Amino acid sequence: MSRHAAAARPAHDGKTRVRPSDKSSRSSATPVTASTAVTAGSVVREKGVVAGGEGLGFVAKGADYWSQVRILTARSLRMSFSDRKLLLIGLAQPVVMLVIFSQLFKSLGTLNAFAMFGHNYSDYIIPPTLVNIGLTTALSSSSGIIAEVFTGFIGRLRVMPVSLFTVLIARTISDMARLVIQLLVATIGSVVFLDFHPKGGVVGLTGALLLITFFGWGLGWVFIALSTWARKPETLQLVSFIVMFPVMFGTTAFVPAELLPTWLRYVAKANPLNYAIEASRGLCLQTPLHNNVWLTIAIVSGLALVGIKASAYNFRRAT
Amino acid sequence: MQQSVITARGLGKRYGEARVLTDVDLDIPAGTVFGILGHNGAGKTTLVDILCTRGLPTEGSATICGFDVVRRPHEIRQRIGVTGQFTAVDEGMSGRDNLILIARLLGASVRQAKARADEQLEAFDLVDAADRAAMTYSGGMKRRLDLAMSLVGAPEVVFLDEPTTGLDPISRNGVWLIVERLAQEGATVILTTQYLEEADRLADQIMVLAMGKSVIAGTPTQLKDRLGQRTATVTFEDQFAMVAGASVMSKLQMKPVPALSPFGVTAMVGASSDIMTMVRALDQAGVKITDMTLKEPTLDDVYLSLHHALWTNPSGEAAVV
Repeated sequence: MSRHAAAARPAHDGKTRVRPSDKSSRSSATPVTASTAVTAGSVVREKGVVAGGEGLGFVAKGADYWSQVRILTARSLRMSFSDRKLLLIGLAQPVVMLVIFSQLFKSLGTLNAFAMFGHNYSDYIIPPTLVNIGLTTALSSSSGIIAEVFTGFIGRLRVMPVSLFTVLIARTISDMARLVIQLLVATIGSVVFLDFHPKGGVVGLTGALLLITFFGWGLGWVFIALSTWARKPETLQLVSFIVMFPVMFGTTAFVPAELLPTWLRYVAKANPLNYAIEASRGLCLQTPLHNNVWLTIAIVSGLALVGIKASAYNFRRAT
Repeated sequence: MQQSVITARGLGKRYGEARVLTDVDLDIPAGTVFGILGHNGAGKTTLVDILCTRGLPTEGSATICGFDVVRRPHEIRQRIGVTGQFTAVDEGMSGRDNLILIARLLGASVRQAKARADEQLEAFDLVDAADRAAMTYSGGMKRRLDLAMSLVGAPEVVFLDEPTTGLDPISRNGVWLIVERLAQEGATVILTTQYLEEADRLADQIMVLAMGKSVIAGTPTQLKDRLGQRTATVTFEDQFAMVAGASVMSKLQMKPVPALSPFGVTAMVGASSDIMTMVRALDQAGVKITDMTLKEPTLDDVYLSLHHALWTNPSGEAAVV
């Protein structure tokens, strides 16, 4: 009811108009804006659009949960695909990784330990590089969230009748879409240019890419949880360094277990990332899978659950 | 019918030992502009954060449109618009897309959202820049877009936390006109500011916050009557008249000081009757005056005297009242 101008107007007018005389001279001091804004003002008054809302056509109740997810996902997707620079660099990143790893360490393939992989180092290194791409994309989710906090977008949503958590869901969905495209580009590029011969065929490759996408989605939640906790890009930078280097290198991603020093072999055995690496390698190359696929799914599900819980907790209303 | 849209009773907030807000009471009627005045760190933003459901109070309670800020935040968020000290626009998107996004999230259909965005672009003078990325906007344009976004849902209650900080005088005037328009359309506006001129011009009621406490509240006129000094500047015919006149005024305890104008003297006057007394006394002494102007106290005077009172009485209780 107070939405409509008439109700509250008299009280207001009664008070404001009784003012010291110097008021009128003050407001006419800046005639330029006064005139432009007054024109706008008269438009407003007719329609009542600034606040009186008579021509609004909708009630600001807040969209329902899944509509929010849809609207925000569309926004996130548009953000990551409309920025051509970002898109190009995003696609270049896996290419660079693949070329460096497969070419720089190519001679490793001649070692006996690689006999099982036909002495083709590309075959050995490309599946874990795809996992690595999943990891990097997961990391970028979190820096995206931090950027949103800085632009104040999330601050605005805090005082709107919407759920903050939908922002995070939207973010992970659009990041998954980006990851799928990166993985496809990287896989096709590897087959065409980098001497990658996945024995697993289309079925094995599809399986591996699905697993890596799931992996990227799940770890994305962990990094989002970290970003909602760290709140600072610097902290996150450090976290990402720790994750990328020791965790990635303490695996059988680059050389088989028998070539690792004993202590590192144990690290690799205990490293959960290793299951994802071995699983995707197994799927791509038809090497023994053991329980790696199921273990990866279990570990990633567990991490995602923790990540979702933690970010929901960190994103709750500030106190 | 004067029902309070915003109420607060004993509202307070502490972080551990530090009390940033203490015992604030509010009763803000619909359709009025309520100014919260205070310098940096006085507790303005803390108070606004609690009222707009962004932060929780540690003491007391508050309601917006009858809904409790702690228990019913969702209902409150359906009825408020908030603009913070820093603009919250998505710089990668155009002004139009920013507005459409907010309208969609509030529950508008695509068609309604587009129509609403067009209205807001027109109302906030952003039509020409509508389809440019917001990162290319000037500070004043960003602020207008920010306001337009906050008002997409035609909120009943609008919070403006230092809306003119960092704006040039022209943009600031634009914001002022928007605030006046809001009040005319029946919205209740909570405005925080460091600028006395701003509170004086826009607010119906003012509360001065200092060190987290409300030190004084009332209409701008009441505050000035209570604390400000009204001055009279009298211009005399010549040097002799000026000296004679100043001595007459001294006898009336008016503490005259030379004014900037030639043959002018400025003195403090209290009640209006003091002016009559002065004029009569000057006339009886045969002193000729050529001009006399009265200057109402500004809120600067109020602010300075409050500040002085607080420093001399740091317990912060409303010593000046």
